Amino acid sequence: MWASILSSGIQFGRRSIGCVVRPYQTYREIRHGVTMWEIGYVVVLILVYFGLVSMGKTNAFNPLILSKQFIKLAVGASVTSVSVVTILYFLGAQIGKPVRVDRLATMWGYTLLPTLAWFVMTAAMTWIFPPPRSETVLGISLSMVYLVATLVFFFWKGELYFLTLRFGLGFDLKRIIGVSIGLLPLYMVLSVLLYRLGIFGVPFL
Amino acid sequence: MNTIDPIYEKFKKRWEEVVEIPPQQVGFLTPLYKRVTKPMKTMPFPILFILSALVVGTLYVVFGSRIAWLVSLLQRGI
Repeated sequence: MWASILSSGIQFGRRSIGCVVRPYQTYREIRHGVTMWEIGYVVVLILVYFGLVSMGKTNAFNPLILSKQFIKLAVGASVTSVSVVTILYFLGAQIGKPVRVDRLATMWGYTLLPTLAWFVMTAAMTWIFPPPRSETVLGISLSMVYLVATLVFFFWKGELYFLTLRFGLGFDLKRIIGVSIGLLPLYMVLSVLLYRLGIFGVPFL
Repeated sequence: MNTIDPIYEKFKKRWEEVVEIPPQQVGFLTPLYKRVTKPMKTMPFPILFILSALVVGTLYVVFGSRIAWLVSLLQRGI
């Protein structure tokens, strides 16, 4: 069992690097198999992310406050992830060639890497240069650097989302665009709901 | 005695992986699609950086120094 956990960890590390340097090839590999514990590492990655976000949001190390925030984030995001993966899986079963649900969930899990990287960058910048940004030359320059980095992570996430639908569900470009537009109202409702619950800090709408 | 050539087996496996999902066709735009997606397949960050810099440059031209407000909003979002 321990050998299996260790090899899954190595696999997870290789695929995380693969999402950066060879995203197409990596997602094609995930389509053909995930190791037993790999999804466990994805869950741990998500939990680390929530832990960091909880500390960032509460700005306190009080275990009670942190736990409350952590549970709220974990429940909100778990419900969202399970709903999205389930809807995508059933859509894929109707109009595509879906992989097994654990592989689809793993693909979806890896799309969290850009979110985590964005969070770490934003937290570091908030810590080093606290907002609000001023309209001076330095403030605008920092803002532009931050926006470029944010967009790079956003486009990277978009690519991993595209690959999840391409390799996870076997969709072509037309179906990916159609399904993404079709699911937009659902994403909008979820975004508003999560913003109202205090899980998202940015009002996306 | 028949022996299985490991290189052939590897090639066959790889070939089956590649053809399992048919290549994307978008009519007359197929060559353009392939040209756009090619740099995204391996180390996409240089092209993503160029694209992002172009978007941010456009935002700066349109909104000027008010983009600092957008950044303050995003940084409060964590």
